[in-house]
Amino acid sequence: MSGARRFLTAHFEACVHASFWVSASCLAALAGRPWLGAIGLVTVAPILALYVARVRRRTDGVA
Amino acid sequence: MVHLTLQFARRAYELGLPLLFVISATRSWKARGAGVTTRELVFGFALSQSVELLAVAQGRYRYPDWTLYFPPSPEWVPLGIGLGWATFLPVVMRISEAILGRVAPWRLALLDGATAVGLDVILDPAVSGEPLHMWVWRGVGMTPYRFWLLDVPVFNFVGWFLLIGASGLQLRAAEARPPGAARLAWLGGFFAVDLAVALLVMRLPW
Repeated sequence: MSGARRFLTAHFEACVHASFWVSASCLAALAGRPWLGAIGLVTVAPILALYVARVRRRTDGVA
Repeated sequence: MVHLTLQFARRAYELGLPLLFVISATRSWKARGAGVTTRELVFGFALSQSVELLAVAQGRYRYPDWTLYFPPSPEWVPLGIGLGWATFLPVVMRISEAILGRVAPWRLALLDGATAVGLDVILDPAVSGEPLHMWVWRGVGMTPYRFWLLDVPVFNFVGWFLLIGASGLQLRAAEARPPGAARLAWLGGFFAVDLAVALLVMRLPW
């Protein structure tokens, strides 16, 4: 299994959430408000980072 | 050219929502089983589509020029909107559960709601109103909102928080019940309460 596919399988929800963020950011750029996507650095990215960190800890058997 | 690009983006988004729904449903079906997947997706779709229908009927917002509406007539709420909610809800629930682990359900629900609003502060200002017009807040016979954030009524963000938070709380509560008719009865009760609360919230002076 490739690295990307392994990541997608292990962090599926994060990938879907990120896809919502990316698509919303693209639409915002099209709508002439590209700075909207950057709000996600504060409102979406920390959640995704926490999720990936927790899942990784769990799969590594640390948690 | 700009108009065509915007139209293409709209159609791509409209097509992307059902596609993402199918991918998420398939994944959940394989990973968590048919029962819980069906309950989450059906509850998420039915509740969100019903709340959206209520809101449109009351002139809170409108969805102009989508390809497919559900129900097909009157053309009030696009099918993709309910499917989008149904996709988003379990995703947010799993994220909260992964981050917080085994904590009180109300804490998971708070994170569910906050995660949803965290995304919507990007999505709603981008696609509602000019120039994409996927949904609009202003028009003849529509609610004259008083409180706005990023050119979106504050009512919308409160609605996202309440709908996702309450749905997450209720689905987890239902899953904690013994399987069978009692579980479905709980979900039916939650559904009725949610619609009543939504109606009440919509009538507040936003």
